[in-house]
Amino acid sequence: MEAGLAWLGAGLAIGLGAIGPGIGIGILVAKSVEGMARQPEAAGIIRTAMFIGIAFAEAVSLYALVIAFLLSFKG
Amino acid sequence: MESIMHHFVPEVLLQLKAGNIDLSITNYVVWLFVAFTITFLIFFIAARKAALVPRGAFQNAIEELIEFVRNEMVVGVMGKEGEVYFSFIATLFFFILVSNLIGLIPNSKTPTSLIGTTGAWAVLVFFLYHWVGVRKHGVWGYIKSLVPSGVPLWLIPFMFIIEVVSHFFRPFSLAVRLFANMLAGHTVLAVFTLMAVTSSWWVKAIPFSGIVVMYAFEVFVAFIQAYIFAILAAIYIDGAIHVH
Repeated sequence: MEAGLAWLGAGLAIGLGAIGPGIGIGILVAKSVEGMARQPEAAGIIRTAMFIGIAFAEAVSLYALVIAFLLSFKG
Repeated sequence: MESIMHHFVPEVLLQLKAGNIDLSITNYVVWLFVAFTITFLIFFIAARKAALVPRGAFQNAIEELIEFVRNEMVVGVMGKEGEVYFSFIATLFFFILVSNLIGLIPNSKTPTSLIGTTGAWAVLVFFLYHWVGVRKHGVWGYIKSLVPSGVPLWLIPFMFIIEVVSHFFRPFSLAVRLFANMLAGHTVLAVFTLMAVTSSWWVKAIPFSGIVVMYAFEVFVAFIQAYIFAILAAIYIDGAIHVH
């Protein structure tokens, strides 16, 4: 019973934790592409900033993943 | 799940203990040394044949990579002042890149998929950028610079606490980002492999094509994560040099 609940919690942790960063990265890339299309000469700077932003947004879901791993080890 | 996850637990090959500190050589440590040796040999050979006009594909590729690190990640982020830290950022970038890529060889271990490896680098970056800031602005000047100027007086204590907490979260997020990315990527590969091994012959093609696609994506992730780690280190050092 407890192991099952831990696995359920692990699934919920990563599933819910990926929603926010997914939306965030979508908005981030959309705006970056908009910027690059408007100003192709600034594409390099925008791309660098985009990757850094993605790394920050992605880190949030990775924390959820770590929790999911911890829970699935418990189970 | 258990059968997959035990691949990520280090195996002790040589027991070494100094008091309470465990210094055992595990298979991850061996692969870390392999990554170190490969990084060293690549640049040793490249530096030995250095000429003013580079010749051959190898020499050109290495110089292109070095130029990229210097222009985009060091001077591009920190300005001329940051060129002193070029060797540190370049070492971080290439060592992490080789460590990430070495895990893609079948039967090898990724040194960066352990929190200990990435945590050590993150703590190194943490102490380095504070040391840079203290050396440039003095202890009191650096502490004052943690709070942005122009903040109302009653807000300063709260801002200070928030800033200090965010500074302590930096090495943590730096370490977890690299470690979790590597661990997650290799877990997905392992899950696809398990599917390909255990499923019946007429569906084997589906998980197998999954492995191929994920392998290509993992090569991309290896580059991106090395780039992110090195450029964040550069940004943190830049924040310590040019305080606002």
